[in-house]
Amino acid sequence: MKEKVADFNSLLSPLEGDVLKVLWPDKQLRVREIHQKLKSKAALSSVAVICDRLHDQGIVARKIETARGGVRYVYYPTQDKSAFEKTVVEQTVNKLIETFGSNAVSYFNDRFKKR
Amino acid sequence: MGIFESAITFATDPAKMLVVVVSMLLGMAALLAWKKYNKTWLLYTHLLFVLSPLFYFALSINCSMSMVNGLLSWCTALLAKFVIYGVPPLMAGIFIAGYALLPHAYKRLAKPLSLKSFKELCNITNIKADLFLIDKAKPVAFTLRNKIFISVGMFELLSKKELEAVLLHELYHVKSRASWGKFSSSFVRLFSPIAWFSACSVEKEEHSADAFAVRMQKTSSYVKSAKLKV
Repeated sequence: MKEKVADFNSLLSPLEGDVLKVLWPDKQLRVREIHQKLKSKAALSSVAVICDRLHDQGIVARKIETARGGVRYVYYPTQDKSAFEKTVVEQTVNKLIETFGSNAVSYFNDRFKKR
Repeated sequence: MGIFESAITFATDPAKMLVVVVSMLLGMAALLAWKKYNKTWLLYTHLLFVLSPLFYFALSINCSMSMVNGLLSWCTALLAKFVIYGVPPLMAGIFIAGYALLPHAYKRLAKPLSLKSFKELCNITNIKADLFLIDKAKPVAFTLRNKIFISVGMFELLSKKELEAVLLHELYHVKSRASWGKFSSSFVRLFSPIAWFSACSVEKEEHSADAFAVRMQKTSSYVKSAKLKV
């Protein structure tokens, strides 16, 4: 089955989704490595900004690595793909309940009864 | 006699006004000399001459109860004196916080970085400086006194030679004591309205720092490409 990162498009920008798609299987990558692996022709600076944004959102973590007379960040996902999806579902459901209260809860009950 | 009467008496005294005018003219001359010679002590001379009339006026305010008409008048006169005399401690506070404490605050946020290439650059240029790493993805580099701060983002975006150009640029700032000049310029502007109208010499300093990096690297391509990336 074809993997559909585009499913996250309402939560993440296309480039953020692409970066995650690269990071999930490889676990730990430098910005330059992510940039090389990306199929899109995004600039290195754009990839660095996206990685920083994902780090600010807590979706990826990073550590400083000193090597070959320089320093760099190594990015890694805080959760694997399925755990990330579960978190997204949980946050969405919580937000619906928070906004619509008992209406949302009764809707979910009806919906699950049907299944 | 309250604050307004004191001000009128002060302004109508020809001898006192002569002192004020001469002081202001000397202040202007010091500012123009700073623009020409770019010596920081001239900025402080300007500040001294600009603020002197204010303290001269404060000395002329008579706050004794027998001289003032009513409690409100006495209070305003006392408050004016208090505010004017409060300027030097305020200046000292800002000076200490801005120039002495700020580099230490940044030092706490950053961590020392030991780079062989940086030490080599210090030896070649004969400039002593310390390098500190900021844990930020945004590419930034700046100098506070003899401390150079550089972010991880700089390392990520720039090539080795471009990074060398940035470090040489910052080393020039250490050599020319640019942070002292920049701080002094901002500090004086804070207290001298006349200095607000003088253009800042920051741009000139930045051009000189770029020229230094170009001279050391014998090419302008790395400075240019680093600027484009950052």
